[in-house]
Amino acid sequence: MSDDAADQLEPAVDPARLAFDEEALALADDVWRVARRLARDYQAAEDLVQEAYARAFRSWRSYESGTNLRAWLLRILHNLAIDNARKQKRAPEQLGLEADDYYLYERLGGNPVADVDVLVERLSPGPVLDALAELSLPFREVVVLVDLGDLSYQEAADVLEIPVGTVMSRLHRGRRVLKRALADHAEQGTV
Amino acid sequence: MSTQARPEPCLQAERCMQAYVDRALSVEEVSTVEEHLAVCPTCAKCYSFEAGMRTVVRQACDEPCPDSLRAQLKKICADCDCE
Ligand SMILES: [Zn+2]
Repeated sequence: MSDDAADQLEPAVDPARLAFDEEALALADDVWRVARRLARDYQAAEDLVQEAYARAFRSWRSYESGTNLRAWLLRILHNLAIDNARKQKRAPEQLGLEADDYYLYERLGGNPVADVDVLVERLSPGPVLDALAELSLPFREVVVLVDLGDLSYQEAADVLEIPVGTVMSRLHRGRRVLKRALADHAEQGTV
Repeated sequence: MSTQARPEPCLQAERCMQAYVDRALSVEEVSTVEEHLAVCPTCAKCYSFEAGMRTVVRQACDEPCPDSLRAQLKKICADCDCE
């Protein structure tokens, strides 16, 4: 087919649009991982990702080329997840009590000879996922965006529309609660 | 839980731990932390534990986008009539 014929058959597609589509679709794994932790189950995560991409494709022109597309997509995902959470009206969750950062390490037997690799190996995926799921959304989101979405503190702050300091403190407390939950789990002898 | 009082350099290291693990410290701050870790096995272990925790979380959540969903996303993309 000659170029002329192609022009007549289909409207020219904006190359910027094609580049956007390609880049956005290449981030599906990252978006999926985050969605899985934000949505209540597998099906809800699929719906969330589909809805996020549908919105992304519709409003692709508002994406500023050259900025972090992953952060942009995760922002859309976050907004949808927040809407869903509001609809579900989940009860406000309690945060675990304060414990310092060396806490789980100490409780898991952090003595001078303990091998860190062994301790980490003892933390199996199941309890980690459970502990994450139990984290209240504002804390879970920060942990998930930074740890799974690979966002910087600043990018996470932009996505969540909160100050960087709040990102850091939520991350800190969120991880602390995680550690505490894992320590409890460890003490029950199943880790 | 009782936490024994730690020396000031260790407390300082603990305050920096999250930002260190998240690579959010300045080069200068990183070298201060690493100087301490080199001489303090306790903090060094806690740091590697913290980093290990992050690895555990990442690994537990490491799940690729299902192929069926990926196909669906491509369809949504193709069907999108916006310009
Ligand atoms: Zn120390």
